[in-house]
Amino acid sequence: VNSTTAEETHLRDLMVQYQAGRIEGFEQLYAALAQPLGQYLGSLTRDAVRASDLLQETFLQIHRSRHTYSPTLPLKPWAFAIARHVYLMEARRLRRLGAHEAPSEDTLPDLPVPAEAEDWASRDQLARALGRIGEDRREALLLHHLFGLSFREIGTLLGIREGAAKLRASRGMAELRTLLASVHQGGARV
Amino acid sequence: LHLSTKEAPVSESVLPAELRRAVEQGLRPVRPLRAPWKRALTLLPFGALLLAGVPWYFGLRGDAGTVGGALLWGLSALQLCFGMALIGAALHEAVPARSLSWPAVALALAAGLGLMVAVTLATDAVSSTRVPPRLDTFFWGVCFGTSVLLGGPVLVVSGWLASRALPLRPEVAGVLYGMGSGLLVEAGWRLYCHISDPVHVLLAHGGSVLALSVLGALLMRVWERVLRGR
Repeated sequence: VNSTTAEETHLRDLMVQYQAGRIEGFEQLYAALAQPLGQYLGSLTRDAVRASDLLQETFLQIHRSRHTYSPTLPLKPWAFAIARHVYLMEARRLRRLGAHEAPSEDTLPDLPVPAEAEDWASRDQLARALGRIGEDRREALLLHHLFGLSFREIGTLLGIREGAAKLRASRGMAELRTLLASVHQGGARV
Repeated sequence: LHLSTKEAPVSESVLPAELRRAVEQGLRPVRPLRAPWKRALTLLPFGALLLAGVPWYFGLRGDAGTVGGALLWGLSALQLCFGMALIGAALHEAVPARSLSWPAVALALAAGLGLMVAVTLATDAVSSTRVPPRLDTFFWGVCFGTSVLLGGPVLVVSGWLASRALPLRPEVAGVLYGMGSGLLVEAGWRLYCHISDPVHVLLAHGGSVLALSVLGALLMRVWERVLRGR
C-alpha cells in the first residue's frame, strides 16, 4: 500500500510539473506510464501494432487534456481512462469503416500476467488462459491485479459500481483458475 | 484467441522523438480545471435570473397567494438547487476517470423527474387550477416552447463547460446537464404558469425538461464530433 501511495505521489508531482509547462515532467511521466498503458492497450486491442499506435495517440490526448487532471486525485486511473477512451474511439472508427481485420499472428502481443497468478502455471499458459476470459472480466482483473487500481478507481474508469468492478475481477480470477485446473487435470490446451 | 509470447513493442519507455516534438510545440502552463461543483456554480446567475426574471417579465402566477411563499419560492429554490446538482454531476461525469455508474446516472435522472412530479402534486393539492376548455394545445405550446427557448442558453453554457473537460460518454453528460437545465428553467417558469393540473404540468413543463435532456445529449454528441472529430 505504501509503495502504491509513494508511486502515486511521485506521478502526481510529475504531472504537476508537466501542467506547469515543464517537458521533464512529461518525459518522466512517459517513462513511468508507457509500459503499463501499452500493456493495457495491448490487452484491449490484442494487436501489438495497433496498441503501439494507440499508445502514442493516448499520450497526445493526455497532452491535449492535461488541464482536466486534478492533482487532488490519483493519476493512474485518469491516464488509463484516457487510454481506454482512445481505444474505444479507434474501435468505433474501425467499425464505421467496416475495416476490422484480425491481426496476424506476428503482431499479437503477449498478454500481461498478474504476479500473484504466476505460481499457478507457466507464463505462456497463463497468458493463453487470460485470453479466453471474457473481455469485461479480463479488463477488471488486469486493472486491479496487474496495474494496481482499486475497485473504486476501476468503477469510475469503467462507469460501473465499485461492487460490480470487484465482481468482474473475482469472476475473472475464478475463471482463470478453472481454465488452469482443466489444463493440469486433463492436459487440455488452453 | 491466439497468443504468442513475443514481447510487444509497446513496452518501450523511451519517449519517441516525434511525440516529444508534438508535445514541446504545444507545451504551455495550464491551470487544472476547478472542481465540478465549483464550475457548476457558473450557472447560478442564470438560475437566479430565471427565478427573478420570469415573474418580473411575465408576472407572478395569479394563485401565488393561495400557493403560499414556502411552496412557491421554496419548491422553486429546491428545483433550482437540484438542477444545479445535476449540472454538477454532468461536469463530474465529463472528467476522465470520474464516470458515474449507470445506476447512479439512472437514479439522478429518476430523482429529477420524481422531484418535478412531487412539486406538481404538492402545488396541485394546495391550489388546483385547470386549463380553460379547448385551450389545452395552446397552453401546452406556450409553456413547452417558452421553456425550451429559455433553456437554450443554459444548455449551451453547460455544454461548453462539459466540453472543456474530456467527456468520455458525451451523451451521458449531455442528458444530465440537459435535465439540469430543464429543472432550472422549470423552477422559474412555474412562478408564472398558474396551471397546476398535473396533466398540463407533466406534459408541457415535464415535456420541456425531457426535450432539453435529449437536446443536451444531441448537442454534446455533435459538439464532441466537431471538436474532437469523434
